[in-house]
Amino acid sequence: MMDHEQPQEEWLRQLLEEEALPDEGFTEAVMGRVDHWVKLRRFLLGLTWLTAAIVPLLTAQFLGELVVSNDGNPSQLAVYLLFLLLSSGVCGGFWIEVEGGLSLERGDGS
Amino acid sequence: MRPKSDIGQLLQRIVVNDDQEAFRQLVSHHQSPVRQFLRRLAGPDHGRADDLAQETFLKAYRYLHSYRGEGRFLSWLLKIAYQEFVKDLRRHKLDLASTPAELIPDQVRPHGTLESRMTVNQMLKDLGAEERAAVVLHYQEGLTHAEIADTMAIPLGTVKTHLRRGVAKLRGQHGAGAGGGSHDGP
Repeated sequence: MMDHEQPQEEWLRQLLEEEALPDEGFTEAVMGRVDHWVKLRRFLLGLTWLTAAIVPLLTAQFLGELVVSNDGNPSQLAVYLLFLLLSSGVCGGFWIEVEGGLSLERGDGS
Repeated sequence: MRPKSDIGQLLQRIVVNDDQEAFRQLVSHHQSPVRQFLRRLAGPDHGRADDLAQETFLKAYRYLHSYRGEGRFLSWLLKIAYQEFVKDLRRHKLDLASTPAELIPDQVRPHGTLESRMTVNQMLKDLGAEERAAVVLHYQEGLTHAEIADTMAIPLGTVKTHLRRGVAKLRGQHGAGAGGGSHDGP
Protein backbone atom coordinates (compact mmCIF):
# COMPACT_ATOMS: atom_id res chain seq x y z
CA MET A 1 0.00 0.00 0.00
CA MET A 2 2.88 2.34 0.72
CA ASP A 3 4.61 4.38 -1.92
CA HIS A 4 8.33 4.10 -2.19
CA GLU A 5 9.13 7.59 -3.43
CA GLN A 6 10.73 8.53 -0.11
CA PRO A 7 12.04 5.32 1.41
CA GLN A 8 14.77 7.24 3.21
CA GLU A 9 12.27 8.96 5.54
CA GLU A 10 11.91 6.06 7.98
CA TRP A 11 12.87 8.44 10.83
CA LEU A 12 9.76 10.50 10.06
CA ARG A 13 7.52 7.45 10.07
CA GLN A 14 8.95 6.47 13.45
CA LEU A 15 8.58 10.02 14.76
CA LEU A 16 4.90 10.14 13.79
CA GLU A 17 4.15 6.64 15.03
CA GLU A 18 1.62 6.73 17.88
CA GLU A 19 0.04 4.24 20.21
CA ALA A 20 -3.71 3.81 19.68
CA LEU A 21 -5.71 6.49 21.49
CA PRO A 22 -7.96 5.20 24.29
CA ASP A 23 -11.64 5.71 23.55
CA GLU A 24 -12.32 7.92 26.63
CA GLY A 25 -16.08 7.99 25.95
CA PHE A 26 -15.62 9.20 22.38
CA THR A 27 -17.71 6.41 20.82
CA GLU A 28 -20.56 7.06 23.26
CA ALA A 29 -20.48 10.78 22.44
CA VAL A 30 -20.71 9.99 18.72
CA MET A 31 -23.56 7.52 19.28
CA GLY A 32 -25.42 10.16 21.31
CA ARG A 33 -25.19 12.55 18.39
CA VAL A 34 -26.22 9.82 15.95
CA ASP A 35 -29.27 9.03 18.08
CA HIS A 36 -30.19 12.72 18.18
CA TRP A 37 -29.82 12.95 14.40
CA VAL A 38 -31.98 9.85 13.81
CA LYS A 39 -34.80 11.29 15.97
CA LEU A 40 -34.55 14.71 14.32
CA ARG A 41 -34.59 13.11 10.87
CA ARG A 42 -37.71 11.07 11.70
CA PHE A 43 -39.45 14.18 13.03
CA LEU A 44 -38.53 16.24 9.97
CA LEU A 45 -39.55 13.46 7.60
CA GLY A 46 -42.95 13.16 9.29
CA LEU A 47 -43.43 16.91 9.30
CA THR A 48 -42.48 17.21 5.64
CA TRP A 49 -44.91 14.58 4.40
CA LEU A 50 -47.65 15.87 6.68
CA THR A 51 -47.16 19.28 5.09
CA ALA A 52 -47.14 17.68 1.65
CA ALA A 53 -50.51 16.10 2.38
CA ILE A 54 -52.21 19.01 4.14
CA VAL A 55 -51.15 21.93 1.92
CA PRO A 56 -52.91 20.57 -1.23
CA LEU A 57 -55.96 19.68 0.83
CA LEU A 58 -56.28 23.19 2.26
CA THR A 59 -55.43 24.78 -1.07
CA ALA A 60 -58.09 22.75 -2.82
CA GLN A 61 -60.54 23.62 -0.07
CA PHE A 62 -60.10 27.37 -0.54
CA LEU A 63 -58.81 27.82 -4.07
CA GLY A 64 -61.13 25.13 -5.42
CA GLU A 65 -64.19 26.93 -4.03
CA LEU A 66 -62.97 30.24 -5.40
CA VAL A 67 -62.21 29.02 -8.89
CA VAL A 68 -65.19 26.79 -9.17
CA SER A 69 -67.90 29.13 -8.01
CA ASN A 70 -67.94 31.11 -11.31
CA ASP A 71 -68.84 28.32 -13.71
CA GLY A 72 -70.61 26.16 -11.20
CA ASN A 73 -68.43 23.23 -12.03
CA PRO A 74 -66.49 22.26 -8.91
CA SER A 75 -62.95 21.17 -9.64
CA GLN A 76 -61.54 20.81 -6.15
CA LEU A 77 -60.14 17.42 -7.05
CA ALA A 78 -58.15 18.86 -9.95
CA VAL A 79 -56.72 21.64 -7.74
CA TYR A 80 -56.01 19.10 -5.02
CA LEU A 81 -54.17 16.79 -7.40
CA LEU A 82 -52.21 19.66 -8.93
CA PHE A 83 -51.02 20.90 -5.54
CA LEU A 84 -50.40 17.38 -4.31
CA LEU A 85 -48.06 16.95 -7.25
CA LEU A 86 -46.40 20.29 -6.62
CA SER A 87 -45.89 19.85 -2.88
CA SER A 88 -44.74 16.25 -3.31
CA GLY A 89 -42.17 17.51 -5.79
CA VAL A 90 -40.98 20.22 -3.40
CA CYS A 91 -40.80 17.85 -0.41
CA GLY A 92 -39.16 15.12 -2.48
CA GLY A 93 -36.62 17.63 -3.74
CA PHE A 94 -35.95 18.74 -0.18
CA TRP A 95 -35.23 15.17 0.94
CA ILE A 96 -33.09 14.41 -2.07
CA GLU A 97 -31.05 17.47 -1.10
CA VAL A 98 -30.86 16.34 2.54
CA GLU A 99 -30.08 12.70 1.79
CA GLY A 100 -28.43 13.21 -1.55
CA GLY A 101 -25.00 12.04 -0.56
CA LEU A 102 -21.74 13.57 0.41
CA SER A 103 -20.14 15.56 -2.36
CA LEU A 104 -16.63 14.34 -1.70
CA GLU A 105 -15.44 15.14 -5.20
CA ARG A 106 -16.03 18.85 -4.86
CA GLY A 107 -12.43 19.74 -4.28
CA ASP A 108 -12.84 21.49 -0.95
CA GLY A 109 -9.22 20.93 -0.27
CA SER A 110 -7.91 22.69 -3.34
CA MET B 1 -6.60 -4.80 12.97
CA ARG B 2 -10.10 -5.83 11.93
CA PRO B 3 -10.15 -7.69 8.56
CA LYS B 4 -11.65 -5.87 5.58
CA SER B 5 -14.43 -8.46 5.27
CA ASP B 6 -15.53 -7.67 8.85
CA ILE B 7 -15.69 -3.97 8.01
CA GLY B 8 -17.73 -4.86 4.92
CA GLN B 9 -20.19 -6.86 7.03
CA LEU B 10 -20.55 -4.02 9.52
CA LEU B 11 -21.16 -1.54 6.70
CA GLN B 12 -23.78 -3.82 5.20
CA ARG B 13 -25.56 -4.16 8.55
CA ILE B 14 -25.66 -0.36 8.91
CA VAL B 15 -26.82 0.42 5.38
CA VAL B 16 -29.37 -2.41 5.09
CA ASN B 17 -30.71 -2.66 8.65
CA ASP B 18 -29.74 0.75 10.06
CA ASP B 19 -27.93 -1.26 12.76
CA GLN B 20 -26.58 1.24 15.27
CA GLU B 21 -24.65 -1.42 17.21
CA ALA B 22 -22.67 -2.11 14.02
CA PHE B 23 -21.96 1.59 13.66
CA ARG B 24 -20.81 1.73 17.29
CA GLN B 25 -18.27 -1.02 16.52
CA LEU B 26 -17.15 0.85 13.41
CA VAL B 27 -16.62 4.08 15.39
CA SER B 28 -14.82 2.25 18.17
CA HIS B 29 -12.51 0.60 15.63
CA HIS B 30 -11.67 3.76 13.66
CA GLN B 31 -11.76 6.46 16.36
CA SER B 32 -8.03 6.34 17.08
CA PRO B 33 -6.62 6.99 13.57
CA VAL B 34 -9.25 9.64 12.80
CA ARG B 35 -8.68 11.50 16.09
CA GLN B 36 -4.91 11.23 15.77
CA PHE B 37 -5.03 12.62 12.23
CA LEU B 38 -7.17 15.58 13.32
CA ARG B 39 -5.00 16.20 16.40
CA ARG B 40 -1.97 16.43 14.16
CA LEU B 41 -3.80 18.92 11.92
CA ALA B 42 -5.50 20.98 14.62
CA GLY B 43 -2.46 21.35 16.83
CA PRO B 44 -2.50 21.19 20.62
CA ASP B 45 -6.25 21.90 20.96
CA HIS B 46 -7.40 18.29 21.39
CA GLY B 47 -10.96 19.37 22.19
CA ARG B 48 -11.28 21.03 18.80
CA ALA B 49 -9.80 17.96 17.08
CA ASP B 50 -12.26 15.64 18.87
CA ASP B 51 -15.20 17.89 17.96
CA LEU B 52 -14.16 17.62 14.33
CA ALA B 53 -13.78 13.84 14.72
CA GLN B 54 -17.35 13.61 16.10
CA GLU B 55 -18.58 15.67 13.17
CA THR B 56 -16.69 13.32 10.84
CA PHE B 57 -18.39 10.19 12.20
CA LEU B 58 -21.82 11.81 12.23
CA LYS B 59 -21.37 12.75 8.58
CA ALA B 60 -20.12 9.24 7.82
CA TYR B 61 -23.31 7.81 9.38
CA ARG B 62 -25.54 10.17 7.40
CA TYR B 63 -23.86 9.54 4.08
CA LEU B 64 -22.72 5.95 4.46
CA HIS B 65 -24.89 4.90 1.52
CA SER B 66 -22.69 7.02 -0.74
CA TYR B 67 -19.56 5.02 0.17
CA ARG B 68 -19.02 2.88 -2.89
CA GLY B 69 -16.56 0.46 -1.37
CA GLU B 70 -13.72 1.74 -3.53
CA GLY B 71 -10.52 1.93 -1.51
CA ARG B 72 -10.14 1.55 2.21
CA PHE B 73 -12.96 2.66 4.49
CA LEU B 74 -10.41 4.50 6.64
CA SER B 75 -9.36 6.57 3.60
CA TRP B 76 -12.99 7.56 3.09
CA LEU B 77 -13.25 8.58 6.76
CA LEU B 78 -10.02 10.57 6.57
CA LYS B 79 -11.36 12.32 3.49
CA ILE B 80 -14.40 13.49 5.44
CA ALA B 81 -12.16 14.41 8.39
CA TYR B 82 -9.95 16.53 6.15
CA GLN B 83 -13.00 18.29 4.68
CA GLU B 84 -14.26 19.02 8.19
CA PHE B 85 -10.84 20.44 9.09
CA VAL B 86 -10.83 22.67 5.97
CA LYS B 87 -14.37 23.87 6.74
CA ASP B 88 -13.28 24.65 10.30
CA LEU B 89 -10.30 26.65 9.04
CA ARG B 90 -12.61 28.65 6.77
CA ARG B 91 -15.06 29.22 9.63
CA HIS B 92 -12.18 30.78 11.55
CA LYS B 93 -11.12 32.70 8.43
CA LEU B 94 -7.77 30.96 8.28
CA ASP B 95 -5.86 30.34 5.09
CA LEU B 96 -5.43 26.71 4.10
CA ALA B 97 -2.35 27.08 1.94
CA SER B 98 -0.28 29.17 4.28
CA THR B 99 -1.46 28.53 7.79
CA PRO B 100 1.50 29.70 9.81
CA ALA B 101 2.32 28.44 13.27
CA GLU B 102 0.93 31.55 14.98
CA LEU B 103 -2.57 30.88 13.67
CA ILE B 104 -2.88 27.53 15.39
CA PRO B 105 -4.46 28.13 18.78
CA ASP B 106 -1.65 27.76 21.24
CA GLN B 107 -3.36 28.59 24.50
CA VAL B 108 -4.25 24.98 25.11
CA ARG B 109 -1.14 23.05 25.98
CA PRO B 110 -0.98 19.32 25.57
CA HIS B 111 -1.32 17.65 28.93
CA GLY B 112 0.18 14.39 29.99
CA THR B 113 1.93 13.87 26.67
CA LEU B 114 5.43 12.63 26.13
CA GLU B 115 8.12 15.13 25.37
CA SER B 116 8.72 13.50 22.01
CA ARG B 117 5.07 13.95 21.09
CA MET B 118 5.27 17.64 21.97
CA THR B 119 8.38 17.89 19.85
CA VAL B 120 6.80 16.33 16.78
CA ASN B 121 3.69 18.50 17.15
CA GLN B 122 5.88 21.60 17.44
CA MET B 123 7.77 20.53 14.34
CA LEU B 124 4.51 20.05 12.43
CA LYS B 125 3.30 23.52 13.45
CA ASP B 126 5.82 25.12 11.12
CA LEU B 127 4.28 23.39 8.12
CA GLY B 128 1.34 24.82 6.16
CA ALA B 129 -1.96 22.99 6.68
CA GLU B 130 -1.77 21.14 3.36
CA GLU B 131 1.84 20.11 3.88
CA ARG B 132 0.99 18.92 7.39
CA ALA B 133 -1.99 16.92 6.14
CA ALA B 134 0.00 15.30 3.33
CA VAL B 135 2.89 14.37 5.63
CA VAL B 136 0.59 12.92 8.32
CA LEU B 137 -1.53 11.01 5.81
CA HIS B 138 1.54 9.46 4.21
CA TYR B 139 3.88 8.83 7.11
CA GLN B 140 1.42 8.32 9.95
CA GLU B 141 -1.68 6.85 8.32
CA GLY B 142 0.18 5.02 5.54
CA LEU B 143 -1.85 6.37 2.61
CA THR B 144 -0.34 6.21 -0.87
CA HIS B 145 0.21 9.38 -2.89
CA ALA B 146 -2.85 8.57 -5.01
CA GLU B 147 -4.99 8.06 -1.91
CA ILE B 148 -3.77 11.38 -0.50
CA ALA B 149 -4.63 13.14 -3.77
CA ASP B 150 -8.13 11.68 -3.52
CA THR B 151 -8.46 12.51 0.19
CA MET B 152 -7.34 16.11 -0.19
CA ALA B 153 -8.94 16.55 -3.63
CA ILE B 154 -5.74 17.91 -5.14
CA PRO B 155 -3.62 16.74 -8.10
CA LEU B 156 -1.01 14.01 -7.58
CA GLY B 157 1.80 16.39 -8.47
CA THR B 158 0.68 18.81 -5.77
CA VAL B 159 0.71 16.00 -3.22
CA LYS B 160 4.31 15.22 -4.13
CA THR B 161 5.23 18.89 -3.86
CA HIS B 162 3.61 19.20 -0.42
CA LEU B 163 5.38 16.05 0.75
CA ARG B 164 8.75 17.16 -0.59
CA ARG B 165 8.48 20.61 1.01
CA GLY B 166 7.05 19.26 4.26
CA VAL B 167 9.72 16.60 4.62
CA ALA B 168 12.48 19.10 3.77
CA LYS B 169 11.27 21.46 6.53
CA LEU B 170 10.96 18.62 9.02
CA ARG B 171 14.36 17.22 8.07
CA GLY B 172 15.88 20.64 8.71
CA GLN B 173 14.25 20.84 12.14
CA HIS B 174 15.04 17.24 12.92
CA GLY B 175 18.67 17.77 12.01
CA ALA B 176 18.85 20.99 14.04
CA GLY B 177 17.00 19.53 17.02
CA ALA B 178 18.65 16.14 16.93
CA GLY B 179 22.22 17.36 16.91
CA GLY B 180 23.81 14.07 17.80
CA GLY B 181 20.79 11.91 16.95
CA SER B 182 18.50 12.80 19.83
CA HIS B 183 14.89 13.84 18.97
CA ASP B 184 14.75 16.60 21.56
CA GLY B 185 12.99 19.64 20.13
CA PRO B 186 13.50 23.37 20.55
